[in-house]
Amino acid sequence: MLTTTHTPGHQRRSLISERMVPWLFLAPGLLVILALALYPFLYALSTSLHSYYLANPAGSRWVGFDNFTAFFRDNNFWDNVTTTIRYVGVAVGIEIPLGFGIALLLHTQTRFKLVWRAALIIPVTLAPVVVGALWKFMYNNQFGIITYLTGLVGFESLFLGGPNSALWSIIVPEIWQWTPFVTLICLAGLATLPDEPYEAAAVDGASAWQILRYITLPLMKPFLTIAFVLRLITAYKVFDPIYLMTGGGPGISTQVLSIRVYELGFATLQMGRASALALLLFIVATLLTKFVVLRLLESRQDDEGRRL
Amino acid sequence: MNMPGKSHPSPSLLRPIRRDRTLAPVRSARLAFTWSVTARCVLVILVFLFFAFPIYWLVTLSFKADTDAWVIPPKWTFAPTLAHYQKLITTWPFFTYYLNSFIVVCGALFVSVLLGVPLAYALARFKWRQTRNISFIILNQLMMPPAAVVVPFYLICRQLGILQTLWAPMLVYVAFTLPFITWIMKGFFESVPHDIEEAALVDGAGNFQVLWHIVLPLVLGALSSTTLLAAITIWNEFFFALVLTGTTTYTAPVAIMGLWTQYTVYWGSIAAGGVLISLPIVIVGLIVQRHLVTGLTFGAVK
Repeated sequence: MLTTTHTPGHQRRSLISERMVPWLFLAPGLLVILALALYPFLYALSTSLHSYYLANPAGSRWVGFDNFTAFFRDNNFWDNVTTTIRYVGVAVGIEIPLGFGIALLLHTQTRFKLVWRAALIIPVTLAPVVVGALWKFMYNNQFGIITYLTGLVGFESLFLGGPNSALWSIIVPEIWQWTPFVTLICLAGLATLPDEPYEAAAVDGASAWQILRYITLPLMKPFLTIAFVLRLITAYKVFDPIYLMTGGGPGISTQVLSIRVYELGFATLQMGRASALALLLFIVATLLTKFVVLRLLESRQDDEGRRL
Repeated sequence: MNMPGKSHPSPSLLRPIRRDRTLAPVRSARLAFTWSVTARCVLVILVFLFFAFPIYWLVTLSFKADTDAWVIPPKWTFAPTLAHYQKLITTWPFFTYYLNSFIVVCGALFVSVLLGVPLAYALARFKWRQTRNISFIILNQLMMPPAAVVVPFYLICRQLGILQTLWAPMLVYVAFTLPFITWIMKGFFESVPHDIEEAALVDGAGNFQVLWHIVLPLVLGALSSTTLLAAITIWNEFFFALVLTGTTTYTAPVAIMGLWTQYTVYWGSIAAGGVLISLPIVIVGLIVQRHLVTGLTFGAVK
């Protein structure tokens, strides 16, 4: 066996191959990631500078930045931006305090733990398509359970069908599916809190509100920040449930930017315009990653002591 | 009936005295206490109902005959039927679509684990000048909205001639699963104490042997949870599958959309499909719950 004979030649060979091993670990995966991340980006960049109707056999035509400037003259685009901001803002603005509140409520609830944990985990793992279909059914204007229940208390609405109510109606399933996500993060956080500050507070006779405000909240801040940032980004990515429930309608009242990209690319086949908008989404996501997510996740990972 | 208290001095003799002295404060404290317990219970039940009711409604809908589902006021009791499941499987090739999903999940996971685990180990253990930039590229890919890359992926798959085959979604899912597995496993590899590996390296083991025989067994639980979490994400994915697959290669989530015809919406079958899609992932989700939060937060919360 070669491995047992220690000839000088073998040692040199094994040294070289040992030095190569880290590279062999790194290279294949990294190359695939780079290819699958960079190539589509460059492709989108090139497409966005062309007028490219998929149905046009003549192919694409160079138009420079026309696809980008078109958005700034396009009122629908600004509506899409506002809708996206409202969707993300309202959803995350409700999910964080609600999820935190529920975590505080359930934190000390040891009875039926399996049952309520299952009720939290199931919404998070469900396919957004299933969630969309389910809520669309519950919102049904004639036979939906939500229409029925709200009718009992005298509240009438077209829900998904109303131009003013549609956006609110698609936010509720979002809250239903992702508040447990915030709760699960907060529960993990609450489990790590030290006892000493609470004992001290009890000795000093602090009120429940003071304990929450001056002890729990500051200690929970890193967890709340992570929940906030991740919710912000996933709400910004949303497509499936909206596509399923309203398709962006009625009119364009629920057309967030993702839905608009789909409209442009796969309903009207304007690949150039769609790519330009996609690049805008890409840039916003990259800026968020660069300045918020990277710092947040890296600092957490380095900080082994806190085991966050 | 022999009261066990009879042999002791009866507590009832003592009680009036004590009650006289401390009645007011004790009772008010008790009342406040019981009120807050009741309030908590009510709140917990409300929270539970809010999250559990839609799931209950989905499951019952899938077992309700149409005559029971489409009535006002809604029926709470009904004779369960398997008709929707039967229809889903016999008149609609749902099983094929289910299998498609399964194939895509397995394919994408195989490639991602095979390439992602060594990459994660390399990033966690060896010094690279570009580690920070690589981390940025990986995270950026994880944060990328599907809408931002769906058009180029569609055009690339079209050029490669793999549109409407299962290769197309598989390729895209590797683009997102590989960075996911790499990132999460990097975190787990970093938490393995370096001393163990160094001892093995001093004893003459190669880097590959150290990873395979020493480190990997230590993180096997984490790796399987991470893989299962990635499986959930791929299984649920809809947007790319919608754009990239065709009538014979739909994955299960896209297939559900096919029950949404222009004329009728087969709600019962949609619900049955929803249950069938959700069943495996809910089970997997409950199995991996220890690592669920780690995975969902990309390793930020352990």
